[in-house]
Amino acid sequence: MRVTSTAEVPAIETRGLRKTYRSRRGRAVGVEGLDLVVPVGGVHGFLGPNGSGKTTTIRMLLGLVRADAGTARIFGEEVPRRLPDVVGRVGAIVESPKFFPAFSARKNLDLLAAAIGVAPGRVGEVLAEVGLAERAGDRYRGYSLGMKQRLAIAATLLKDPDLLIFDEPTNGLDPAGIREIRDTMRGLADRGKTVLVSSHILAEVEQVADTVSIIARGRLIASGRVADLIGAGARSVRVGVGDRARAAGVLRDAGLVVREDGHHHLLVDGVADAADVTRLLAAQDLWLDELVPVQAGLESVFLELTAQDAALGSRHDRRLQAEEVTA
Amino acid sequence: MSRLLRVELRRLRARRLVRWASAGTLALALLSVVLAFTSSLPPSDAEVDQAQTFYEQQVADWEENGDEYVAECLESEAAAQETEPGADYGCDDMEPRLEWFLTTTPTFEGDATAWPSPGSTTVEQLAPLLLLLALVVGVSFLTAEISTGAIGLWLTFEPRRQRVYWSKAVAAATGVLPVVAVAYLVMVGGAYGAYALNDQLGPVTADTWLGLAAVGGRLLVAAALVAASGAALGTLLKNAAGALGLVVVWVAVLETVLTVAVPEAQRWLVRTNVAAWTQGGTSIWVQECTTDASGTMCEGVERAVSQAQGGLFLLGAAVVLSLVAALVFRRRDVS
Repeated sequence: MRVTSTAEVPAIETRGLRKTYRSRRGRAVGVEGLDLVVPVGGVHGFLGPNGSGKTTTIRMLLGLVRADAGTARIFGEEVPRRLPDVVGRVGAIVESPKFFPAFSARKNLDLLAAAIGVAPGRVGEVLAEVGLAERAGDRYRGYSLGMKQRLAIAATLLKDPDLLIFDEPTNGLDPAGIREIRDTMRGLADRGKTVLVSSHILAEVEQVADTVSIIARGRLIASGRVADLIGAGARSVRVGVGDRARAAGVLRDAGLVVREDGHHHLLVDGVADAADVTRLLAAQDLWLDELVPVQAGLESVFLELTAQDAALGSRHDRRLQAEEVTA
Repeated sequence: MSRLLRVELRRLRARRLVRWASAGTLALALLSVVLAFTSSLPPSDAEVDQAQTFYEQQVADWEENGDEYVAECLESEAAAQETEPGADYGCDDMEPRLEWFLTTTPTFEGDATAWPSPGSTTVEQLAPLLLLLALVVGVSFLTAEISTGAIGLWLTFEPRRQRVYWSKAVAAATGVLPVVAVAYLVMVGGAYGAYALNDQLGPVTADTWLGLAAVGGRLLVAAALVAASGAALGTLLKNAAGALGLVVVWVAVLETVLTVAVPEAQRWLVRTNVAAWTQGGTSIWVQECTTDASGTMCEGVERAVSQAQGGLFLLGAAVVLSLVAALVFRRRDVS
């Protein structure tokens, strides 16, 4: 696991969090000993492939699902036991928002506001804040997906929370809607809020997140600042050269990992200094027409880490099977 | 808790299903008024003419054969008195009378054992139908949130699940009361008005009104308990159709089968106890058999089921179901 620095006081902290579900084939692991730390302030991306345990983790944090083992804390308060003490500081959307379909947006928010003792005037404010003031009287069932998401965000804002948890908030949205949600999250973070956003759409998170945690198969496999994670993976250069086959041979002989990029270039991984590539090829009378450092994106880091984890997982599974057969 | 309860009552009132169910309940109450009006109508001219014709035929027959009929009657009566002293065949009152041929019109007040029943008794017998509203509202109030997933959002605002459950259950139990009360008043007032219009009130006394008020009070208690039980069933089964279907199958099918197969079990059936509570006691019929040298002889015996038993049964069912549902709601994963 790769762990880089995180901020001081955590908004969210879990230790050894575990959840299994009953399935037809026995018990399926949803979350397996998750240690997660979300620093206060900024946007924290919570990344993982589908089924990796993101939503289950969020549900456990919000007391919707009981953990089998481990502890979870929000702003230092143990949840779900002390959740009532801290729930006023937390706004959350878990998966697709679920309001009463036959009620209007305003009616839905009125009820929520009344339940938590928020002044009725706040409903109009949050509806205006998310751009739904003019459609507030419409029935929720007639809303588009984007409007439903915006209403859900409005609901989370009723409490003026310090921590906002958005679970896959851009699912099904068009590009304009995605941008809108992204801007909203960034705006909230800029106002000092902590935003935890779970997603499997990495490009979207990369643009808005300050820190990320990546989980796979219910376990944390990387966590830290986005820049640090991406920086740690920036070890490739793209090479344009006339005789690609001979150049690839030279570089491989020097111990570098060389691939074709499919666009008449070589991609060379594991390069400590790009100048080394120039020197190696020039020494063999191979002259470059292009040498570009390739900045790894969050996506490539994510794919690399999850692929490693999957390989480890399958080896682990095979070993378990072998042990079972031996036994 | 009171804040949550107020919110839940607002939500209950805003639900379309509740509005439709309330309208249906009031329609049911109005239908009972129509029935009261038609059943208290005096005989029509055609019915009176027909009765007069039958009466005159019988009078003619009586004048011709009356003495013979009386003699036969006295002979049969004397024979019967040999085994059953005091047997009275009414031989001194055999002359036909016109009222025998006219359909009896019930009064609003009157002998509760008469047939057709007096209007006030009919109201008591129909009133338990209003409990259907309580059942539908109780069940659907919880299942609507569970099936749409809205309960998940609600719990992110108020995570204290016990408070959430009880606020919903109490809202369902109290929210139905105004509609049931109005519907019952419509039934009582409408029946009274219908009988008054047809001049069939009979000797209505303060006791009549006190009796009807007591039925109304017990009906409201039953409505609250049924709504709470419905909310619990909805929570446990998470599906309105499933919960309502279970109740219908239980009451309409299983209890009918039990009535035939195990008559003694009637004492513990839902419908028996609902009737016992709302009507101030009821009775069941069971077969009691004795065997002696001449063989086995069975006879129907009436057994009373007290109002207290009915009330305790409904209260016990509501408490047990609600406690189980609250426990399940507290521990269940919301996904």
